[in-house]
Amino acid sequence: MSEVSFKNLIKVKESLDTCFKCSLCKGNCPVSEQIFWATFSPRGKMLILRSLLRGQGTLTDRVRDSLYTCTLCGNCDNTCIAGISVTDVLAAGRRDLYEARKAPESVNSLISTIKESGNVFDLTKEDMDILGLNPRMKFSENADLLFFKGCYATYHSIPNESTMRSFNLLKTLNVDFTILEAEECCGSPAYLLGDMDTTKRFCEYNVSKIEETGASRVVTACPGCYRVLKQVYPQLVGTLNFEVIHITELLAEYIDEDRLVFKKTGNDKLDVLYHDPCELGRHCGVYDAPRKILESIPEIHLEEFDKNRDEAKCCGGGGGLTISNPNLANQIAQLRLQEAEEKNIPTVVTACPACQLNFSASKDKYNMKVKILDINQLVGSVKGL
Amino acid sequence: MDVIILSPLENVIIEKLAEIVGEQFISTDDADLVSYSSDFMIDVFLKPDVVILPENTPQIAAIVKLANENSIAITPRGAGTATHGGSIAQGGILLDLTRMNKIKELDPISMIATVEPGVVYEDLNRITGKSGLWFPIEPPSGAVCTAGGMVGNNASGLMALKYGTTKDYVLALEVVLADGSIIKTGKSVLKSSSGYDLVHLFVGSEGTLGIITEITLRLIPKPMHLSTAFASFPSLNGLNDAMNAIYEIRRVLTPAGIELIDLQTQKAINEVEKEKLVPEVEILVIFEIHEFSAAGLEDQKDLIEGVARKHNCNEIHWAKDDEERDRMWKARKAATVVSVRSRTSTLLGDLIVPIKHVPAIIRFIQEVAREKDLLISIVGHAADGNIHYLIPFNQNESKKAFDAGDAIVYKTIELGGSITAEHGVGLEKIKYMELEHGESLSLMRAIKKILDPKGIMNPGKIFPAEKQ
Repeated sequence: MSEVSFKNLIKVKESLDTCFKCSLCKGNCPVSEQIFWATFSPRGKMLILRSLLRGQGTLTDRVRDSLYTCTLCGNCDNTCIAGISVTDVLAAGRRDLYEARKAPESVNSLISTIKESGNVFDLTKEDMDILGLNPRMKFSENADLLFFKGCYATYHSIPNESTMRSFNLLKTLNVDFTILEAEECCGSPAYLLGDMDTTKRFCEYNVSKIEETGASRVVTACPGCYRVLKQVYPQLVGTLNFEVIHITELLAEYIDEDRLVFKKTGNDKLDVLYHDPCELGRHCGVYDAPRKILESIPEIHLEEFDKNRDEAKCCGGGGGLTISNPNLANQIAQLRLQEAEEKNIPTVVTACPACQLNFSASKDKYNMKVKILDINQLVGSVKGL
Repeated sequence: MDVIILSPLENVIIEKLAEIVGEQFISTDDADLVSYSSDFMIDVFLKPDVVILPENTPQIAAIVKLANENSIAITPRGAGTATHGGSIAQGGILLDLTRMNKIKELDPISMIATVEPGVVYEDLNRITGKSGLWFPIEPPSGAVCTAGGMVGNNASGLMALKYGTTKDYVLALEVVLADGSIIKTGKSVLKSSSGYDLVHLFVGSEGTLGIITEITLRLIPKPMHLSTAFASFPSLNGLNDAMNAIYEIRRVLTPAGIELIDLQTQKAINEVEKEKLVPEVEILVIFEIHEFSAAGLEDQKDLIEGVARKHNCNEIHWAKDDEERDRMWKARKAATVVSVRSRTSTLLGDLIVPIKHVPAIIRFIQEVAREKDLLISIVGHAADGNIHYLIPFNQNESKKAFDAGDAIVYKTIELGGSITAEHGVGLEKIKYMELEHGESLSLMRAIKKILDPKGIMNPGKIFPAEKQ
């Protein structure tokens, strides 16, 4: 026990002590739907951490597996009738394990990659230039709006060119924007996996680079980047000199201002289900903007998952689960997609490249028919735009 | 009930248990033992020696047989949402039954479902709901609690007034007895007068007589029209006003549920939820009504409103839609914990008295709180006499908290009530069993001795420790 200081857990001791162990948090937990062991339920994790903090437990590998087998989706927080943030406690536990070099090897390896390459995919600058950007694209030098690309949206293995679609969309709407020439990882993966030093390093770097541009607004298409920029950066470096918005919020603004209008094309209606990404929805409260966009498209008929908005189930791709347990991440996604198939709705739209990536991997793995679309992809393909 | 608990279990036994269920579903890792070391609310943390997740009845039979041969304690557990420590194991084998979560048969014609014990209450109702059917217990833990746990505890919930408790729906059971034999008792029929009612011997037995491995449940049609109201009784005499209204309403109709929340709890709910979920008045009553026609629902609303106003209810607000109704029940469900956040431990009571004595027992609890300088919150299923009181305390207040709990229980017995209406006896209520049951406790012991001669089935629960 002396190997781990638990200095982060001590900060959330009140939450651990306040937990009445009712286990209602298990009700909407994506991991508990897949794993029967109470050890992997939110209450099990709380009990383990409480026992460690009180010096009554043993730090076995199973503790590490339990803590990192979690998407940090926040459904437990949302369900807690005592108002406890379970995810804050779990994040603190992860930090203590990581700082004591007790995190899983897959986690250490990913963080090393991010530290060295500045992105989650271990890409060199040359790789990034080839994969991520159209070199002929020109950006404004004095734009008030900066587009933060994010690794997942720009470089992930599905060739859906999310960032290029965002660029094209902004260009189509005559938005004057710029980018960081040497953008580094936002720090979200390090933050979720427990490495606050690395998170802070990326935060300080990106904040200084953004401030150098003079942009007053930063827009991103990645909810992971969005949450860290908006919520975590101010905790690490104080109030920011720029506003952070998600691209769906920008598009919703444009719809409100009649600067983005979708015309009727006469095509058949497409039924879609909107999946609320945890980082965008539950963690940042952005539920209406994506729905406003979808409802504004005449050819779209928006349906809802049974669990939506603050109760939306996780896609399985959050909290580093795709790193620590990719099979489980895919199984969680499969359960979410099954609902679309049961409802006979052919398309699931999300506003998160990580959700899209995990959903797509699961769809391929389980041979599902449902189509997965990023909201930018959908908007960009609407002929009436 | 001398139980030999091998602690730690000999490796050879662990190996045999692993052969039965597979390595993946057995663990002695401390993280796993800790995860099963407690229940809702109770301030007790005890570890089993081994946790096992069986998949089917033959596996359980083999495990129990092995345990019996080696005098090893076995504690069955569902979701662990009970409040009195009934599914906590001090050493021995803890059987987590959540893996056995199949609905084996749903017969919409006979309106019967046969399920494994690990089926989650709300999952079952999601499936039966497709046929318009319902298992109507509605425990506040319904999103996670299991059918097996509900039967083992004879759970009830927010709608017991109209729909009764779990026992009213259990038609048949499959049980693995302490020697590893498997019995089936009861039939998938609505009535039987054939011999002793063994089904209801096992219902509420908290795993002390055997492991329930299959449950056949009666279902009922789910009403289409529901409504919920907050009724405020603001005067200092609000308790009497509310109960007089409830007595009068009960004589002419049976609402699905009638809940009562005291002022202290109302304030705590609003404080924790950071929004005014409930009005703050002397006594708040929640009425839940169910009907099969919209007109019938309106008739019930009119009647309740008329009677409530006659008894000085100054405001009765019916939910405008499902969303508001959900918010109302969210407030009631939160009531169990919000009022106790300021202390490190809590004593949760589950008494039931004849309905006419509800005002007397509530006043008595309030007197005890004043006398002992404790904050005691009161919520309850007012119309069936089941009152929950919560005594939050810090360690330096534990003696007076437990003294207060004792005093309330003694008063409950004096008023002709029972020490637990729906939570079970577990570890916490054992000390009151003799007081409540007197001589009939000996008969309970005798039954236990016949079915479990070595005392391996969930030892230390329900009965006081035997004198050596």
